[in-house]
Amino acid sequence: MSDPQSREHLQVVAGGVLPADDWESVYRDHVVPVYRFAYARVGNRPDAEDVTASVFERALPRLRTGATEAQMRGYLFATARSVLAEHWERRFSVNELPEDTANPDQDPQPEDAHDEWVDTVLSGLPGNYREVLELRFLRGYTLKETALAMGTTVGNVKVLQLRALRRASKEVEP
Amino acid sequence: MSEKDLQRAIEAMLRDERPPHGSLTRDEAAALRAAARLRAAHPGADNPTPEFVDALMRRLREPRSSSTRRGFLRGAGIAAAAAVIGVGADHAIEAMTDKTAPKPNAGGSLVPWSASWKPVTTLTELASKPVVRFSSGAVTGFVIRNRDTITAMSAVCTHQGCILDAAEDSNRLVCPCHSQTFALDGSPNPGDYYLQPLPRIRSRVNGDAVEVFV
Repeated sequence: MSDPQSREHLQVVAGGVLPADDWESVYRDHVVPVYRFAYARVGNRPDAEDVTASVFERALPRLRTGATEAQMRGYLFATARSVLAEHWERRFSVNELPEDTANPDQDPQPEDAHDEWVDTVLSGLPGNYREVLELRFLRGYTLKETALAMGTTVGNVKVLQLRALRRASKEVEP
Repeated sequence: MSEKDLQRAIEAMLRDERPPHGSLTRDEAAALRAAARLRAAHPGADNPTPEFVDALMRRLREPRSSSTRRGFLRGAGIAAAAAVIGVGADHAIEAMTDKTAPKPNAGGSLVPWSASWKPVTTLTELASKPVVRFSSGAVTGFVIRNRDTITAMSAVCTHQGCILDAAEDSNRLVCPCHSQTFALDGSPNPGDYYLQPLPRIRSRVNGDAVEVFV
């Protein structure tokens, strides 16, 4: 498992422990990006909140004065990847790390950027797969509303959306 | 995970709730990750609530020393930090930079810098009662006998800091606040919260006495 705390290049930051005022600003600057990064990998609010809290609880006491913005950001996201990997392992007994968790040096995409992955995946899917994912995930339709819109049954929507997700994850690894 | 369980997990995500525990194959995990990523693309879905942002800020801001105590506790989480009082900040900082320190995600150990061995129970008591709770100074913990092995660990829930109880049959530790339970090795049982294991406390047997280093 990835253990960012043991990675020297992230730890090598001269100076003392960050004064409270400084880490509060580090927190304010990064809490939203870290939360969004987590959310896109857990898909729900309570888990995203837990992951975000764990990231700052772990990382803040280890940040030192003198760290550059890039170092702090790198350390926070490396910690986030580690926390997320543990989360998936605990919740779903998944040992294999997804690509961006396994690769610590890949920078997360800018938090406000539109997620290109979504466009790429949706455009590559057959029509009914794309439609069910758009209605349910992007537009927030309920099962019933989706069934109505697609002229099918709730049961079929469930089956269809799972197939669509399986297919989407094969087309491009999320 | 069965097809139905996987569908349930997806529906939970779409309601913005935690998906239930389960064991996923590689393909199933990939499908669920795709669901998470799509879910995040729903407009506004991935914005943290201001309440959460403020509450976490307040938790992290707790007296300056508590964040150094967190380091001292080596990742045991804020709640467990409540178990320790009076740790010199300098020492705690040293502990944080200690290269030999356990990995912070391993649940950590409670090893105070100025501590001594204190007797908290006896082998005789443990023979009839495998889980004994003790309070010694600032630390509340359990001494746990599992056949011939004795371990000690913090009794402070790593969720919100409530003091755990031993279950009546002494086979697990139960939090009175949110019903979270921990196994006797300190690992959190699957539940609603994402928790750290209970930090260990050093223990030894001295004659009949069981002593902890607190």
